[in-house]
Amino acid sequence: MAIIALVDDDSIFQFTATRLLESSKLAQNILHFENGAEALTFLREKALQKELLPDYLFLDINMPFVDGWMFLEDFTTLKSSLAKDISIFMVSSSIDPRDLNRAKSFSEVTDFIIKPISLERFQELLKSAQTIE
Amino acid sequence: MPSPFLSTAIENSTGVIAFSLDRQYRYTSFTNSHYQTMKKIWNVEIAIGVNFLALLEKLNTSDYLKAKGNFDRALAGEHFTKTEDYGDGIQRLFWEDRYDPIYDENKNIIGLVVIVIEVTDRIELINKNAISSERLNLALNAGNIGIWEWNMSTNDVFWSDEILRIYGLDQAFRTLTFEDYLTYVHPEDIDRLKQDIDMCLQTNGQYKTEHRVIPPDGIMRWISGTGKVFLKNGVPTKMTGTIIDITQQKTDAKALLESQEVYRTLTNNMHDMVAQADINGNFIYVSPSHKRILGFDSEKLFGRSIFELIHPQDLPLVATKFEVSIKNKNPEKAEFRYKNANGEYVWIETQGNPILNPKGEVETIILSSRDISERKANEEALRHRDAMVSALAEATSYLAVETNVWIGLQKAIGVLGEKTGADRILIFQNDPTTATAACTLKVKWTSNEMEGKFEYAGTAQFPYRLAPSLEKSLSSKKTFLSHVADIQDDAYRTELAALHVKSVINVPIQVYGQFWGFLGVDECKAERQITNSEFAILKSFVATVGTVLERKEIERENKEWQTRYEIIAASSGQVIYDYDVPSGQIVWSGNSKDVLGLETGEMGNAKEWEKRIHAEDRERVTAELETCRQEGKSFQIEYRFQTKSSSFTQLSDRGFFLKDANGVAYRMLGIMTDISQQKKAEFELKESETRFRTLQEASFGGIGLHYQGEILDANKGLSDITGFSYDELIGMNGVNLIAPESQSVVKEKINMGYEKPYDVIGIRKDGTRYNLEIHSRNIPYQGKTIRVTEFRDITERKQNEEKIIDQNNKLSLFAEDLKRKNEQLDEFTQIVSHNLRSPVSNILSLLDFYEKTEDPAEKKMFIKMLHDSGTKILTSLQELNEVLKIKQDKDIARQDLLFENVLDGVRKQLSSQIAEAKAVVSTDFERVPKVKYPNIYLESVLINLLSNALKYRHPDRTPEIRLKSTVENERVILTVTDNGLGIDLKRYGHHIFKLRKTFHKHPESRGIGLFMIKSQIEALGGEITISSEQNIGTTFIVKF
Repeated sequence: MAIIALVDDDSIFQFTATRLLESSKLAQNILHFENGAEALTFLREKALQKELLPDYLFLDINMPFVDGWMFLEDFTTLKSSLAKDISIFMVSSSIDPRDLNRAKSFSEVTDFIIKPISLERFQELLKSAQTIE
Repeated sequence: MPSPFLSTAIENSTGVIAFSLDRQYRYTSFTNSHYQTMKKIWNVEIAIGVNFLALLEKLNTSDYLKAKGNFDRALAGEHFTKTEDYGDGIQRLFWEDRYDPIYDENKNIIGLVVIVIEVTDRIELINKNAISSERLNLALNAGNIGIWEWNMSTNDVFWSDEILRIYGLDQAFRTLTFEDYLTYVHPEDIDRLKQDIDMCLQTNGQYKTEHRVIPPDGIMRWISGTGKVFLKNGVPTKMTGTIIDITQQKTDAKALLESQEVYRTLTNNMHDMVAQADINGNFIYVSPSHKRILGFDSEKLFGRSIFELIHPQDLPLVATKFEVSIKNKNPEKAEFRYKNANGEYVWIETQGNPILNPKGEVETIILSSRDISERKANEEALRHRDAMVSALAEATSYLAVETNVWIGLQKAIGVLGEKTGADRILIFQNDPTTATAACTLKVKWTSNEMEGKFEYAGTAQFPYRLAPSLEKSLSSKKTFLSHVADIQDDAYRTELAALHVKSVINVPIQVYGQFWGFLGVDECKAERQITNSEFAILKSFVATVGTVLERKEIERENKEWQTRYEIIAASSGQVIYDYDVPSGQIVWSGNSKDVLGLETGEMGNAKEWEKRIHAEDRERVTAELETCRQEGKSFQIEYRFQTKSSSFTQLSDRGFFLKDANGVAYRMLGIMTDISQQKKAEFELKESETRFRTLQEASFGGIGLHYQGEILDANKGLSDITGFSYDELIGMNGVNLIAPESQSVVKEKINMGYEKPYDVIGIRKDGTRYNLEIHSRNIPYQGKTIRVTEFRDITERKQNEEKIIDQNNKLSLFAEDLKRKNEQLDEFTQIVSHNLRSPVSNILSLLDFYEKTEDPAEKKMFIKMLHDSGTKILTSLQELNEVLKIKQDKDIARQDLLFENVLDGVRKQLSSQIAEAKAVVSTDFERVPKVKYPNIYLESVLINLLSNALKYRHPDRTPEIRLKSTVENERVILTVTDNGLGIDLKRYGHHIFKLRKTFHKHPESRGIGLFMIKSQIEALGGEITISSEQNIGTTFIVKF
């Protein structure tokens, strides 16, 4: 089972997402980060500890301090030093096509998901990500 | 070893000739005397740069070959002297030539110097002597020839008078028979003579014999006789012959032999000193002749060592020779200095002959000595003379080589001074303005010993009046030569004495035959008599100096000429050139770059010039030039000339050829003018005439032709526009068609030949004004530059332009507004998609959970969360509303506000936060205390910036917030600076003023304030910017 990271300042989204993932037993462990900076710090610290690194990372765009875009910029330079390949899902309530296009410009982003995310959607995403692997 | 003639000749001659050549045998210098000689002998005028050998080749082939051989030897590094004859075939002169190579500083041979002394007089004297004595002998002999004839058939003998005279016989002996004659012949010779005659008769040949005769007077005579047999029908019939008295010759030969013996005996006896020494070198015999030569009585030397009085420097040599002689039992010879009775050293040559005893051991040594002081002195003089000549050669070579005359002179006098052992050499030049009133020191050389003792500082300019005797001598071209003590002029003598001078030689320097100045040689060590050779050298050198200075004058003149024509060329915008036909070299004036865009080097020689002529013009140009060259006519040719790359310039080339004495053109001087502008103008004139004609008929505008404002011609259009009739326009000053305020502009444009359209205000005949566009061009017309001017009434256009500008302004305002609105729309999209959609999506998720759970505690929790999400949506909507209000409130009323007052209110609102942070808020509103702004906005700005600064204060230091108002371009500016955490603008800059953006993990970050005030400020046309540095602080700048 996978380790899943949720990077979002929205506490209600964190709660709902966690609950869905737990109930569906899709995740072995769920990591919570309030913003990009916290997530980056964690990844840097645990870069070589494969067993602690997430397999999937759900990333919100709009966050205070280090937002989703800034996280991605840093992640592109960071990823080569990580012991594990991480699939990133961009998550936003935005329906602005500019955000979608911008997300696609990052090769690190596996998919772009518009909130809210249903249980079925989670299952589908993780399955397709596994098939790719 | 130099020829024996040289020393005499150089001493007798003051006109030493010298010249130097470069490796190509071209003159690099020559003395005036050489110039004169060449002119005298060959009738050629030589000059620096002229090839001497080429000249000689044309004049005399054998001389050419001879000279070339000598020059080449010198150029190969040989120093030598040769006596040879050179001349034009009628007059051959003998020259004693010394050849020396000239070296540069790297010891490379760069030429040669030849010092020439004419020795014709001597050679001729010798030859004359030889010739005349021969002639004399011939004459004498001719006078002494006697003729006889013997008729064999009759046995009659004819004796000529001369024979009778030779034998001292009178006429009575004229009938003497042959047998009688034989009785006078010397008995010892008679048989030989008979034999000779018999042989002659037998062979029908002839004889020649010498025999003695003793005629009746008893005096023996030597006779040289000849005889020849004449045959008739194969039988000898006659014999005839001559006799010559050769007694004198026979006697002379004998006398010479005898006298030589006598001479030898005399010399031996009179000049030699003979002494005998033992093997230890002590005198055991001293001949009396020692007294005469050395001043010692023989007894004085007896018993003393032969080495005692030998000069210490020569002693080792003599001692060695003495030992060697004894050891080898062979004679040895030595030359050495020996102290005489007066304590002076005299040069002695001694031969030591070891004398052996019967056992074969050396017992004594016979020393025969002679005084060789004179010979030594001659040798010394010869060496000195050689040094002099080589000094002159070297000094002259410096004058030839150095391009800077003064440096050359400096080096030359240095060499001269070193070699002649002088103490100072100076060259003074007469003051050119005051003639011979004074002279100035130009070049000086001081010997090492005198260095430092030379203090000419105060008198570098020397007034001749101090030394009238010097001036008198020099100005009459005479050398002033004196011991200082003998100088009559007190001031001059005193001055020289002060400078430690003992003797002076001042030789006048002539330039163009004028007294130019003088070369002075100072002797400081002792009074010294100048030798003839030194004097000859000096005069020769000074003559060369004169020539060099003349050359410099010429160069200066050339330079001045060059400068003059450069100025002319530059000011006229023409290229001037000087073409040397034989060499093809062309000297271009330096402005070729300005006129044609080509450096003088790029212009090149005649060939390169020809290449640059346009292919279509080339044949015509060369043919035309050739004709002019042959006919010696001046020329003016126009052709296209290639300047840079492939572009051609139309040139007018004017000039003329200079011819030499034979009528051959050797030089071409000319001026090139770039006439492409003129050609272009001509073309344009044609074009504009056509256009003018067309326009005259078809143009809506007015057209006028004017010369410096005066209208020469106009079309109907001009009448229509201005209201003046055609007749009124012609002759009128066109400027009067322009409104007074525009006239100066128009005049200026006319003066500068402005050719682009420009707008002015025109004035019609009726005084009404209108907008006028003028478009003029300069056109060459019948020798002058006239202007074609088009008038166009642009009132309507101006009005339209104004309308367009007005509309454009409106449009751009509108566009700006639209742009801003678009940006706002964008922002709203962002707000709606992020800030409103996310709580809504949360609500949906929560509702889903709520429906699925049965747990009442969970249900309660979901309800609370739903409530929170709803509140969030409401807050966002309120904020949005606020922003929208701002955007719509563009026209909110502004009031005069005092920063201080508004800040007071804000401070009160934030008092608890300020107190908690212990922040220091300072203000500087003195210069700009007020701003016209909506109160509520200014309050908002201050609250947000202040609370922002408090929020992001640095935890380690007291927060300081400084507010300052200034004014820039009439806009009030508020600066708020803090010393807080600062922001990494590179990373977060794009987010600063966005809604819901925070850049710090700070609990109070809400991300609304900056977005709000930015909206407010921008809504009123202002702007807000930020500068910040992490851990240093942040500054916000608000332009109201």
